Amino acid sequence: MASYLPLLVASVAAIGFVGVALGLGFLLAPQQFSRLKRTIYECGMESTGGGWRQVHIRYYLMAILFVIFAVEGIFLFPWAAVLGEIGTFAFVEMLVFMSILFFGLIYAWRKGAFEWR
Amino acid sequence: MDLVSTLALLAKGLVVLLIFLAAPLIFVLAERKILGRIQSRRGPNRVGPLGLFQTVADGIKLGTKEDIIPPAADRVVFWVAPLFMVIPAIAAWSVIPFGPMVEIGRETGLWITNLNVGILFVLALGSLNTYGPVMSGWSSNSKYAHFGALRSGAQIISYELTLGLAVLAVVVYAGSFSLIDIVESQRHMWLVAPQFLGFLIFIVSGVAETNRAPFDLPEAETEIVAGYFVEYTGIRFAMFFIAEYANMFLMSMLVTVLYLGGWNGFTIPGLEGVSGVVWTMAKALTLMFGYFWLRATLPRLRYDQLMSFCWKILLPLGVLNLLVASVLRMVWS
Amino acid sequence: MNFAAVLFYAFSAIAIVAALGTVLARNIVYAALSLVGTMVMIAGIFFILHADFLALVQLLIYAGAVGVLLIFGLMLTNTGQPATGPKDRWQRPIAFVAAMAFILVAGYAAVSTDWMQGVVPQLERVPPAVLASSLFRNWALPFEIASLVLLVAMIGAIVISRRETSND
Repeated sequence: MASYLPLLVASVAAIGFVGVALGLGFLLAPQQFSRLKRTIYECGMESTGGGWRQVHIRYYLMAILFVIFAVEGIFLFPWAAVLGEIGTFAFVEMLVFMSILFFGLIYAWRKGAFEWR
Repeated sequence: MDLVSTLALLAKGLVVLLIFLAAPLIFVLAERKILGRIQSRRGPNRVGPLGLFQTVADGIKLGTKEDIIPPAADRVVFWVAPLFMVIPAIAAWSVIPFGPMVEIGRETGLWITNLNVGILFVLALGSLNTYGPVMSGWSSNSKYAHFGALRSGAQIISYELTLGLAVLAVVVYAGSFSLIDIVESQRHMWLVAPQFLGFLIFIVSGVAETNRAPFDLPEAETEIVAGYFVEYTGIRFAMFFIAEYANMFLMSMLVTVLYLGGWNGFTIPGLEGVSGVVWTMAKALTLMFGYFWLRATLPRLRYDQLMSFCWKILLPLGVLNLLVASVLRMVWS
Repeated sequence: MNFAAVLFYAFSAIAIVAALGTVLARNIVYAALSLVGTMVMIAGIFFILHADFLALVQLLIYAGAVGVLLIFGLMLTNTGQPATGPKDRWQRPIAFVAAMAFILVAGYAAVSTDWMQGVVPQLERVPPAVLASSLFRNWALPFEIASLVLLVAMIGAIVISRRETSND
């Protein structure tokens, strides 16, 4: 428990830091209303429309590939830590595991998941 | 936990918080000075002797500027997004070792806490780092911010994978997740020697994770102005800056700890603690200089190049590196 | 009540509030972010229970990866549009029955379980070595099957999005 307490303290300190900084900004900074100042940023032209629109599906694909490889990575971590003791069987096991997922990577590659046109 | 160790913990925490706050002040100035010198300019030289107080002046200026929340923005998410930038940037420092065990009245390590899953904790915070850019970019309801958020999100998650693969090879060598154990295991040989490929993969991924040149597409000034924080002003804008520089320094410390032997180096007998901290800082600051040098030298990549480089080159290389490392480990043990 | 119990109740309360936010929020991005908050709090509870590895899996996979996946998924829709009223009113009675059935079953399970069974006086950290040897010796086959599940998920995602990528 004691070794995790600093993590909680650090998070609280971070919230406190942001709170104090924003509070100071609120006290020091001027507040003057201006219609143009409140429009959305645009380079030189008049600002039209908001930014909320549909995104390309490839971002979703990137996210799902990340989830899958992150899960693989999580399995790899305990494996890597004990590789010295646990022997050849675990190594072969992981080789099979990784080659199945590597097949998926090659499939994604062939299907053009990494082409950004 | 007794009173003395609580006080020691508080003191260490305070020092680390001070480093966190001072790092942006120092590194922004250092970056501008170094970039200036590389481009045959002087850099900032007006505020204070040699322009040393330039970033302090900038900080005061940012604090006294109006804090605008565009009416079109989503107020709640806009408000909490800087928090999501700062929390992971501060929390990760609690597991970074600055020096060895020392004797100050009693045995104490020059780190805040020794988690036996330390490196995993840093990686987990790295994956939470996606939320700051994505939340701020989405909530701004601006086209530029939206592009910045998407680019940043996809870039951070992709390079997080290659970063993790490089770390895995380190874990194979060290046999532990604890950053302190990893440094201890490099007493006789820094891991950069057997893990040179992993070192390169980690550095490239680390630069991409912190959105720095040549991978600074999320904030590419010349095309999407400032990316995900374009609508932020005043002190809120400063939060993004502080988090970025703190994360850069964190990445430099991580490379030091994982590959460059951490506090290991020549020590003066009796002053192990001091020389350990000096070694760690010297290595990390050299890597920070590398960051600035990269920015001065390399042009920005194109986004499709950035993503395909990660998935088609770095990821297979990372897997290969891990396999070679584990085979070597099997043979060796 | 000791400090760990205070933390446990605090984390649980925030997790429950955030979970309610996930269900009740009209704005889907708020719902997704509340879900991330729930995940982080659950990671905190794992930390209290000395399940470090599980806590970090929770942070890395659920709070980190799955949360980002959800948000990118939501951005496929037009999140800026104000939420319209529900179009599925006819489903409400059925949903009510299903929810009641779930509450009954979960409530029965909660009441009839002997919670004190297997309670240890002092929690012990499980070293990664023990975890790994259990995973790679006793549970080798499920572990390999997990990779097939992941492969199916990957191929499914690519097949769904392929038509779009080849068009542009």
